[in-house]
Amino acid sequence: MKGFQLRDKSMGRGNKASTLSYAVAQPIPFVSQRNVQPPCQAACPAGVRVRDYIALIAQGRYRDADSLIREQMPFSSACGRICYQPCETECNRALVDEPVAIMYLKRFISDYAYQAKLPLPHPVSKTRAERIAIVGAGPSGLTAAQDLTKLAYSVTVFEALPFPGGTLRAALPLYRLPKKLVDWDIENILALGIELNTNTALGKDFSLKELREAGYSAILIATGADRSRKLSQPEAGIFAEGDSSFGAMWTVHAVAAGHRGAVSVDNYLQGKSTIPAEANYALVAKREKGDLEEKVLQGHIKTKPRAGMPLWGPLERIHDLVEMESGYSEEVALQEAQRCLGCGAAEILEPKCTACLTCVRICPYEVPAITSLNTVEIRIERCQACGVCVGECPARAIAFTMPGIEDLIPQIEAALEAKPVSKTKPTIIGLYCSYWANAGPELIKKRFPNIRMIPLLCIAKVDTLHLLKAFEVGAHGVFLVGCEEEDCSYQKGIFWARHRVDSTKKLLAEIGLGKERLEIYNLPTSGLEQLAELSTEFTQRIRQLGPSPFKK
Amino acid sequence: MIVGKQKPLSEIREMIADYKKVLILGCGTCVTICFAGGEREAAILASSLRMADKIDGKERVFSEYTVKRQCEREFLEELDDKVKEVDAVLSLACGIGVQALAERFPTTPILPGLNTSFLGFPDEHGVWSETCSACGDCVLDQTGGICPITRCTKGLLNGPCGGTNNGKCEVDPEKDCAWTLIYQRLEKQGKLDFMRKYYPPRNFQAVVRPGKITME
Repeated sequence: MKGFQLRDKSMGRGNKASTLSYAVAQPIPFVSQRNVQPPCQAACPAGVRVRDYIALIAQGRYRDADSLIREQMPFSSACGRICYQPCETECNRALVDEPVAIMYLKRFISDYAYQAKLPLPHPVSKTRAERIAIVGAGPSGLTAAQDLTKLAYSVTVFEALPFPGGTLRAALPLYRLPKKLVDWDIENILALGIELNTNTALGKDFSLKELREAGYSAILIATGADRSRKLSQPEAGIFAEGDSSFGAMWTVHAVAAGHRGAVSVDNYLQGKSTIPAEANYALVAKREKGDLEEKVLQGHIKTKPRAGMPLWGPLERIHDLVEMESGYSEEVALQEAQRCLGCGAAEILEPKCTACLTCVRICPYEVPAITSLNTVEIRIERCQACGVCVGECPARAIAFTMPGIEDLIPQIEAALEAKPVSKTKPTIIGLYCSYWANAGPELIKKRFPNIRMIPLLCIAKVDTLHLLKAFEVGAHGVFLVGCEEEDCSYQKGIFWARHRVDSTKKLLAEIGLGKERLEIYNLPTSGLEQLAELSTEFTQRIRQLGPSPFKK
Repeated sequence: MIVGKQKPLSEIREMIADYKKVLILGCGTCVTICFAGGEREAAILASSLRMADKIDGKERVFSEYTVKRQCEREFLEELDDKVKEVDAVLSLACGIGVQALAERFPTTPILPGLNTSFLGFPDEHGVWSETCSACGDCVLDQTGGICPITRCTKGLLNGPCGGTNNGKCEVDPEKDCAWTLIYQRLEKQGKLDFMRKYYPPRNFQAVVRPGKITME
């Protein structure tokens, strides 16, 4: 049979392998969620952080998106093709026009990672003494193996078939799910340092008793449900998960079962209750149709149709059994990801909130409100994730749980660490709005090779501390570039960005660094040409000012 | 609430000139609300000072922390270890907080990072106005809830003076004439006869400074 090959065109234009803007050694970490969950994530049996990876795609941070997806969904290529998409059923965007095409975006990222041959994760050092045996190398068993390995246990997986992947690899037709991609998902899992024994069947090549005798502290059975049967009640230290116990389900359920199995095993080995605790979220940011309709009428949310999945033409399909759907181009993926409403992104950190009412006064959408107890609450069903409140709160009591604010300083640091493209140029950070740019990281990098460009979902997400920090860690100059006021995706986003730039300029003058090292540009959407001229001017200006005293 | 304003960076730098290790201490209540000395302002100041020092080639270590209220002894207890580590504390609290700190840490210089400006409330985001002088002899019942001691530039109890100018003050035409405001308010309440009342000279003994109140 002809082997799988990803057609080149399927990756879209300008998206050749191996070049992310200022690719860094490790993906950028960002804040974890606290009390509020977006509905897409709440609906996902595996708890994939949908909103967050969509936000990463919308910023062109594909590698960060890939590694975030793989935390909860190690079979990302598969799930980008064959999921039943409960996330899309719950997507609030459906109340505006149509749900965000979450599954297609996930596929875009896994295709990208495969095509770009993103580096595999580093092996985890096994700091725990216990060894764990997992029977079955399907989605459930390998998910559990990934989780337990990340918890620093030594994990060995036993698989009856000659290859891992279970049903995904053994039974799905090629035109639905290319085997090469399942293999790529598995490579990513095994790279963490997992021992895999294929052609090794339970009951034929080994018994549970033998595993116990071989010194495995816990055994997890995840053999799937290729035949109807029920496992007997497991004994202490032996756990059964996934289809083997509950009957055949979707891949995402098998993955979810793998997560639960891993938690049970870990709890058992730590002497805790083996029943996994339910995720501890207090609220799901589900919105009301009427409220969103009002936002559309007010122009706060612009309607934008969902991007369809392109198909290969019959002439291309006739030659082989490769899948019919060709996948999003980068341009389409960026546009589609930018349809996400960022539900439930802002949360108040109650012990820090001093009820100063700043957020109540400045939110362009009247999201924060005073409660009957005279505390302030963020009405999650209204929040548009603009981030204006986060940058203004004087107590720093508002957390932004979506990527793009709290991970900005690590991004700046990583950009400054990256090798300069040209040694003669001053080190300049360009913070650009992804809605404005309308271009992926590679095009941006190509267009601005001497600027360390960092994407954001609106420059209103930048605050004074980010700007000061950029200089403190070695930038010679910093500029922000975003939309003109009337094109801003958010209400008053540009007003706040300018306000912060103005006050930071005053500080820079007082510090003795000079206000000329900071600039803000508001340009027509996709105005890369205009920025090219302005950034050349800016570079010239910074060169004349000389390197900053904090240069790297 | 108490309203303050951060001192200019140059003045703060002079103040800390002799110290190598400085704790920048924010206060989580009034001065947080008026953007003068909360956690965000403490972080911004620390970053600014670090950079200004580096430009001057100075070696100094800054630490940052914010307590709930510097004017409560109990909230200062957690600072014992932190203050031990430094040569001086730059307090971003009002003068009350600075003095409370100085009392708890008598051997460590406690420096004021801001000027305590007045008692007032926000007119809008980022704008505060003084409305009370804590005189200890409140007359707001007679003046329609508008304090002439504070809001009349001259502090007149029997106003308006001859300098009232279409509702503005002769001293500062940007400012409202408090007595015009009082007249208008009393008119709305049907209490214009209060305007005829003569106020004898104020009792400056109402609060003997420094004031002290003991709950009975």
